[in-house]
Formats: sequence, C-alpha cells, structure tokens
Amino acid sequence: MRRDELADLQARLGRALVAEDPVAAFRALLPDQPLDEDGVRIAALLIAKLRFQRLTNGSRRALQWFERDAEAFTAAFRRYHHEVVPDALDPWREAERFERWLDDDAAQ
Amino acid sequence: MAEAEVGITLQPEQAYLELLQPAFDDADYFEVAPETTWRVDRDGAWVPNDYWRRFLEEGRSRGKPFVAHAVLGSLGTAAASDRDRQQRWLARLAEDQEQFAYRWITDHLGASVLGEHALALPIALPMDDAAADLVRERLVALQQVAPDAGFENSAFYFLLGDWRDEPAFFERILSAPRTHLLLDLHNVYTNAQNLGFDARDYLDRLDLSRVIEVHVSGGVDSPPEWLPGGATRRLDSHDAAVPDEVWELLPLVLPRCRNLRGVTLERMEGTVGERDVDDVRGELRRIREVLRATR
Repeated sequence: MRRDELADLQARLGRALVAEDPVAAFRALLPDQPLDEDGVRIAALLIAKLRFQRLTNGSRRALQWFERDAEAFTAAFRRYHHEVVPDALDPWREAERFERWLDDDAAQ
Repeated sequence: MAEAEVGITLQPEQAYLELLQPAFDDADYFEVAPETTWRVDRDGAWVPNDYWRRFLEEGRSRGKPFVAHAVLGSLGTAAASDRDRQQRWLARLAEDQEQFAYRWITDHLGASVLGEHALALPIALPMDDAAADLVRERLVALQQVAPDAGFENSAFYFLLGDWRDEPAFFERILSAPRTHLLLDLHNVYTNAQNLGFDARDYLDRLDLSRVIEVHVSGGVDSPPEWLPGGATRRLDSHDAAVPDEVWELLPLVLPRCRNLRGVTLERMEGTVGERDVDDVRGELRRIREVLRATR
C-alpha cells in the first residue's frame, strides 16, 4: 500500500466509525476482510464517549443541559455526533462546534 | 543491565494530586501526558494550563524527573491535512521540554486522526511497510525534542490484520536508533481477552530488548448493555487496581527487557478516592519488589 492509499483508507475508516451503523459501514468498506463486529461497535462507542467527555468538559451549556435533562441532551448529542465531522481534539473547539450546530439547528 | 526505576502518572485533577501525595514520594519519576497540561488560547495555539505549573512543582519540589506519554501525536496518521497540527504539537512539546526535561517521550501506536476525523481513540494500522515507514518517520521527528522516542503497544478493539503480525511490524517500525517500545501489559492482556489470543504466546514473539518502559494498570469490562446479547469487552480504562493477570506477566517480561529504564503505574483521574491511596502505594511497592527480584 502507498502512503496516499493509506491516507485514503484511513479517511474512509474515520467516516465508518462515526456512521449510525458502523458495522454496516465497515462491511461496505472492507468486504473481503474478516470483521470483528463487536470490536467495531466498541471502538465506535468509545469514540462517541470520548467526544461526549470533550464536549461536556468544554461547554458549560452542554454540561448544564445534560444535568438538567440527560435524555434530551443525549438524543441531541447523538444527532450531532453523526451530523458533524469530529475535527476537534480539544474540549474548547468541540464546544464551539456543538454550540454552532445548536444555533444552526434552532435557526432551521 | 541498567537499573530501572518506578514511576507513577500525574493526572490533571486536584483530588488525585492531593490524595496521592504519599504515593508521589514513593515513586522515582513522574509520567505526564503533555496534552493534559495545555489549553487552547484565543488564537488556537496550545499554551500551558494551570496543571503545567502544578506538575512541574510536583517534580521539582521532590527532585524527581519526568517522562512524557503523549496522547495526541497520532503517530500513524497518513493524511497530509494533519501535518500542520503535528508540527504545532511537536513545537509545543519542544517548548515543554525546556522545563520538564523529559527523559523520553512516547505516544500510542495507531491513528487517532483519520482523514478529517479526529477520533481521539487510536485505531489499528494495516501492518505493512507504508504504515511502518510512517510511524518510524514520526518517531525520528519526535527525537528532535527528546533523543529517546517510542510508541506504546495500544489496546485495539479490532485489528486490520492478524495479531501474529504485530511483532514483526513493531520491529520494522523500530529500525531507527534510539527508538523504543513502551510495553503496556494491560494492553497486552486487554487485546488477548478481546481478540482471542494467549498473552504469554504474544509476549514470547516480541523483541523485548527494545522496551524502554513498561506500563501496568487496571481496567474493567464494558457494561453488558453496550453490545448485542450482553457481550462484554475488556476496556483499557485505567480505572481500577492492577489485575492478577497483569501482575503475573510482569516478572515474565522484566528479565528480557535488558534496556528497560522504568516501570510506570498508570491510574486515571476521577478514579482515586481516600480508600484507594494505600492500594496505589502497595502497587508501587509491588512493582519495586518485582524489579528487585527479577533483575
């Protein structure tokens, strides 16, 4: 595999791991590869959990919403996670993304 | 065989730092995830946060050195779009190095940035030459900051290949001088549990002469509601005592780690209460006893 091919594979893996059905996305991406379905599910869950932690560490608004109404916040976070590419590794940028998404969502 | 020391992680949490003061006296060195000492300023640059000074004081007041175990290097990311971030990460580390004087720097094997997706969880690499070359180049770049650089065998929840290929993949990565393996025994145990192999068999296949540091830590199984049918997987969560299975591996590997410089006890913030302090101190003592008995 060349480096550009590795970069392309990683980009597609990244998309699969935040898809609503990561196992189906993996099967479509690597149809010939043996698939550890539960391993993919756990990885996708941990990625979402880490993003959730980043967000609630970085956004007082998100944390207060979660503490006030965990069910509604979790539903909103799930939509956010699937709709917005996770491109922030630190809490502050994650908070910015989420709050912009919330404002856009409200405007619609 | 060089004498290896005993280390403990510093975590960015007030309670952790206050409760574990006696344990910090027990350790020979401190391990820091540099990114936990940073924040992002208004211009988007990484700058020191309050823990940067606090960690430095913990070390300086006791005369104890630091090692770095980074989390955001994403050593296996191939995307050109991540290069600017990687350069800024290296530059921040270089600034920290002037104060922390990290004896060595490691990060996790894998890619936590996949294309434009910053996932924060290391994802396994295909175990081929392209990936090995890439990680080796990143380690060599890291040597601009500290002459000894390495990667940790990560806990991967799925592989892009066969676990039996990992030892040869590690050797291809570590072909440059003064590049090292950080052998995380809980990750070996976790992968063995989750991917279905024998931890001892795996360790027998590794060249342990490249190990600069060993990690011991604990973890838990995933909640049964996470997976269909109530199945569980071992998590690399660092939130519990070191399990017997990991203690059993430690004396097996130490005699083969002839260039070892430290064994570090890892523990996550938010997981240490008053009742855990004696246990953590006991774990540090146990590491020291195993080191004395086996080297």
